[in-house]
Amino acid sequence: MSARAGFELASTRLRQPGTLSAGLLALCFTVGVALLERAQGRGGAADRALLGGAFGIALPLFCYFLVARSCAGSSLQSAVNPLARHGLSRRALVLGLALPAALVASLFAALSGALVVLITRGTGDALWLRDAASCVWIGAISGVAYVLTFVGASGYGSRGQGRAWLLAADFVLGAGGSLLAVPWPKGHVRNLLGGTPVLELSQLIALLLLLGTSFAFLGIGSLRTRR
Amino acid sequence: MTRAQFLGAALRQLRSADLELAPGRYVTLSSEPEPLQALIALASGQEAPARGSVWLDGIAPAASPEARRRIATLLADEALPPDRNTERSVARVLSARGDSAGDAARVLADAGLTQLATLPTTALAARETRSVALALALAHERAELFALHEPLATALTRSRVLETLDRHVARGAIVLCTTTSTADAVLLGGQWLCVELGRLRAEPGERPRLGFGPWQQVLVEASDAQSLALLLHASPHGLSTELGSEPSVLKVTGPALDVTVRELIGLARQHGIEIRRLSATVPPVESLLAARAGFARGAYEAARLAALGSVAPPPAGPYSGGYT
Repeated sequence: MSARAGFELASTRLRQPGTLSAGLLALCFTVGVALLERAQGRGGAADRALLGGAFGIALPLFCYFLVARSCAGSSLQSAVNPLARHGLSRRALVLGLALPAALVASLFAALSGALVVLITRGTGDALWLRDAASCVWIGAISGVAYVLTFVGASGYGSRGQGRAWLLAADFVLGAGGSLLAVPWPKGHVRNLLGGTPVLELSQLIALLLLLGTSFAFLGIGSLRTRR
Repeated sequence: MTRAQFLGAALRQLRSADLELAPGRYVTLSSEPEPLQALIALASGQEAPARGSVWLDGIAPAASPEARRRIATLLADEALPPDRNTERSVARVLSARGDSAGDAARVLADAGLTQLATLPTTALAARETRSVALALALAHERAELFALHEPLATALTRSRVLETLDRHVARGAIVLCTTTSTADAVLLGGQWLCVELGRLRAEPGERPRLGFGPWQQVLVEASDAQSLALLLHASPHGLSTELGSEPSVLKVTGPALDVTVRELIGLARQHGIEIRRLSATVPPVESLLAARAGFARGAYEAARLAALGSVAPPPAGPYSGGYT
C-alpha cells in the first residue's frame, strides 16, 4: 500500500511539465556529442561519445534531475511527508518513490546508448547491432544504479543536499581508477563500457559493485528515514 | 483514555516541552510562531524531537505509521500530495489514512470548499491549501489527537471549526491548538498553555493565572476605605491592606490579582461601599528582590533539611541561622 502510494506520488511529480523537456535536452546533448565525435573520426568515436557525453555527463545529470523532481527538491523525509504524516510507512514510500525515476532513467540510458552506437558506427558496421544491444543493457542498469544512489543520498541534508554532494563526488572521485572511485557509479559504468577499470576489477565484479553500492546507498538513505 | 506526552521535547526554537495531555482542549500561545510550528510538527510525528521524546499512548508518532494514522494535523506550511486536482489529492490522503477515497467530494463540500475541487493542487494559494488540510483534519473521525496550528486562520468559518472541535472533544479526543493571537485563543477556549523563551510546561494542579504571586497589589479608592479594610482582613483569602497616600486610598495585597479584585468588588457591593478607582500596582523592585531572596532561602533550607535528615538542629548561638 505505502510503496504503491510512493510510486504514484513520484509518478505525479515526474509528470509535471519540464521532465520531458529535460529528457529531450539530455538526449539532444548526447546525440550532439555523438555527431561531433563521429566528425572527429570514426575510430573510437563510439567509446568517446559513450564514456563522455552519454554516460559520463548526460546520464548522471538527468538522473540527478529525476531524483530531485521525485523528491520535490527536498530531502527524502520531506518528500514522503505529505503521505507519511497520514499514516503510511516512510521507508516503503521511499522504495516506491525510487521506482518511476529508475524506470525513466533506465529507458533514457538504454535509448541514448543505442542512439550513440547507431550514430557513431552507422548501420554499415557489422557489429553495430551487437554493440547497441550491449549499450542497452548497460544503460538500463546504469540508469537504475544512478537513481537508487541519488535517492539514498537524498536522505542526507535538510533539503536533500546529499545528492548534490554525491554528484560532485561521482564526477571528481569516480573519474579515477583508485580505491576512492569504488563507492561511486561512474568508474563501474566506465568499466562495463570497456573503459579503464577501477582497481583493475573485472566487468562482472564491476557490475556486482555497481548494483551493490547503489542498493547500499538506497538502504542507508531509507534507514535514515524514520518509519 | 488517550494520553499525549511531551518529555523535554525540543525542536528548533522550541527549547523544551513538558506536557501530559488528557482528552480535552488545549490552546498554546506564544508571541513567536516558530516554537508553535515546532510543537505541531512534533505532535503530528512529522518530525522527531532533537532532544527528549513525544508519545501518543506510549508510541512515538514520528516512528510509527499506526500512531500517525490516529493524528489529525494542520501545519503552518501545508502541502497536499500532488495530483491532477484537489479532489483527487484529498482522496489520496483519505486512502492513506484508511478512509474511503470516495468521500473526498463530501469532505470538501462539508467544509464549503467545493469550488476548489477541480483546481490543481499547484494552483492553490497557501491559505486555500491550509483550508483543505483543515477540512481533512476535521473530517478525521477516528483521530485521537488533533494538532492544529492557527485553525481559525483559514477559509473555513470559525463557527464550523469550533463546533467540529467541540464534537471531537466530546467523543474523547485531545485537541491541541496553537496560535499567536490572543483573540483566537479566547475563541478556541480550553486550557491555555504559554510558550515562554521557547519553553512550554503544563503546571500540575491549579492553572497558572495572570498576576499570580505574593507581591501583587491593587490600589483602590473607596468612599469608606477604613470599613473596606476591616472587611478585607476578615476575608478567607488572606488579604492584607495598607493605607495609601490619601485616607480614601488603600493598597490591597492578595494571592492573585483576580482573587483580590473579585473579593474587593463583592464586599463593596455587599456593604454598599462605593469604589471610585481600582487599579493594579506595579510591584516595587524591593518586593521582587525580597521574593527572590525568600525563594532562595526556602530552597536552601529545604536542601539542608533533606541533607541533615533526622539530625537534631544545632544549638542556638549568636551565629545560628545566620546563613544567607
